[in-house]
Amino acid sequence: MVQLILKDFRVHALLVVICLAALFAASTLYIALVLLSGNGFKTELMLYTLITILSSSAVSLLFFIQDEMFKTDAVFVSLPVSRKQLVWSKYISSIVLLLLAFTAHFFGFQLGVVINNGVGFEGAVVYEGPLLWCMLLLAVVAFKSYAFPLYFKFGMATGGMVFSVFQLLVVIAFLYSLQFETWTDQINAVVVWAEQRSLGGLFGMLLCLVVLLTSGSMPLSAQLFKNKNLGT
Amino acid sequence: MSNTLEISNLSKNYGDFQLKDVSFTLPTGYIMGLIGPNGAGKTTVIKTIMNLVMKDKGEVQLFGKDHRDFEIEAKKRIGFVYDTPNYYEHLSLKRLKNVIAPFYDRWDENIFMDLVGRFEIPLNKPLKKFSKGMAMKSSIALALSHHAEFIVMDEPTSGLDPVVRREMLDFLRNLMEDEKKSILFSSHITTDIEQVADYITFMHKGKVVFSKTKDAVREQYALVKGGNELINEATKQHFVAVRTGAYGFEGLTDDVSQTKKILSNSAIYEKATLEDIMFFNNIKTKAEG
Amino acid sequence: MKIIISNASSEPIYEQISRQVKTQIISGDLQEGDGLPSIRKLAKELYISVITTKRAYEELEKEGFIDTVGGKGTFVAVQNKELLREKKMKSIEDMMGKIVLEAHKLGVTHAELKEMLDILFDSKEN
Repeated sequence: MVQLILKDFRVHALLVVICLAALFAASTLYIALVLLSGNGFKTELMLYTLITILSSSAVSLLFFIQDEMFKTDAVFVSLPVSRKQLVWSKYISSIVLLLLAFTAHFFGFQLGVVINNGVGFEGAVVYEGPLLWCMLLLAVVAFKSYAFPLYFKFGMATGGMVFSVFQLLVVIAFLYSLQFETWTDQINAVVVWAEQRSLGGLFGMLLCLVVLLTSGSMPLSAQLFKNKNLGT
Repeated sequence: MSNTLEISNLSKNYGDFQLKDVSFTLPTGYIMGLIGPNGAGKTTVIKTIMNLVMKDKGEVQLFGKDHRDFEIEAKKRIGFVYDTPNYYEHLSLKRLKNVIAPFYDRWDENIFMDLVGRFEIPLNKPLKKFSKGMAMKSSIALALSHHAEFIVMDEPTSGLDPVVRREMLDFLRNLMEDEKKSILFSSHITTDIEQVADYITFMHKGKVVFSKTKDAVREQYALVKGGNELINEATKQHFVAVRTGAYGFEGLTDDVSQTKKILSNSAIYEKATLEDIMFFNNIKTKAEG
Repeated sequence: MKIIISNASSEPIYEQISRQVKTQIISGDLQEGDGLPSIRKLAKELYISVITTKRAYEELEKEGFIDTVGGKGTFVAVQNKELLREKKMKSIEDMMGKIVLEAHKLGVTHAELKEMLDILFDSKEN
């Protein structure tokens, strides 16, 4: 199991590093440019949030795409591993990638602010703390929990389609939120609310998510994948 | 005598293709060749053994235990070689080995390096630059370095040049000095199987036509040639199939001693090659429609 | 030990092996107690199936030419010299039976056959 997770990082080490570096650099550049050009625009910040979500979830699918390209599932199933282990390892490595991607964005954001002499977005201080980022991460993981079983049942094409629909929804939500001038305030309010409950709230969410994954989504995916014909 | 592989009544419906009641047994210590024309179901059987393809019905036992209930345990003892290995092409063999090796507790670096040396495979060249023969040799080196007791290979010799093929076959044969090892390999190149197999399983259209020792096949089948006057409805019964020409007939019998009694010395008997056997079985199925 | 296998021959391979081993035992090339290669070793060397060598050894063992000692290997058995000679005579007799049959078919007379035999004997002795 550990080997299954490690093998992806081993095989694609260079690719992972390049992707993370790209996310980090993109975040830094974007934030620095926006801030330097006039101390923060709310719409730009929202767009930035959208980009981080989309790019991070794309990076988290890196191994899936590689496996699909080289059809390696069939190879690894012939090694002494069970299909359940294969499924679980995919979840875990995908979540680890997602975590790394958000971390890259987070630090990229910080660097962007530093470049602007430490002055961040007006009224959007929450972006400078990790709490908001953790919440974004959890939201994407929650989404994965229902997208993955579809992937294991129908493969990349359909799984990818569902993912695209999700991303479309995010875009629509973004466009919709543009008409409210106060959306950063609302996000702030949510984060402040979560902050009041401090780590407890975050931990609670995390716990719910872990339960959702391990008792719902992951066994379901394993079950769907168990009887799939591979390498045909 | 224990059995490495036991398949009984294996069935699989694949839409346009079906496996029907496939049964055969490979005793420990022997090489079995799985032959049949393309589309006979060889690859599907092998994939079912490896649990890559799900069976609809039937039983598969590896080392005396169910292949799904004891999947991991069994796979530790199996070395599997694909017909077209799907590996990450950008890796070198050395890096790929570093990915594969940790999966096996009994991985033996010495064996691997020995095979790499013997096969003269470059360790640091990306796999996508390998020839078909090189790729196959790499697969074999990767599959045989963990003291596998059962080696399963799907078309290991197809696409290789004759010299490499011969080397590969000799290599397999040398493995069999260890009586605990067994090999199952499929091929549509019948001469490969004739050269190394102890047992031959012949599949045709999803069914097993026969599964027996190579010696038994040799003794049982013969190519019979003679004048057309020898062929009538009654004598035809003793042939798998017969084709008649202007100057005589040629037929395959699967009971040579009986056929000799009936046609006596008026016909010529020749050893049937596996290719003959495949060819006449194909005529037979075509005739049956 | 020397064994040459012909794939083109109509004689089954296991018979080719057992016949050649027998001949070598009878001629004395293989002595009592000499070790024979293992079934697997021989199969590998001759490029034939283990099943074939196994069958050849089984035949030889049945006829008392070789013994397999569990864990130690296979050896040329203690031979009964009289019996061996008798067996050899029997095989010569069989061959001569065939010669007579062929001769009969062609109408070769007893005297002509004798003459041929004499010539062959002479050439061998010289």
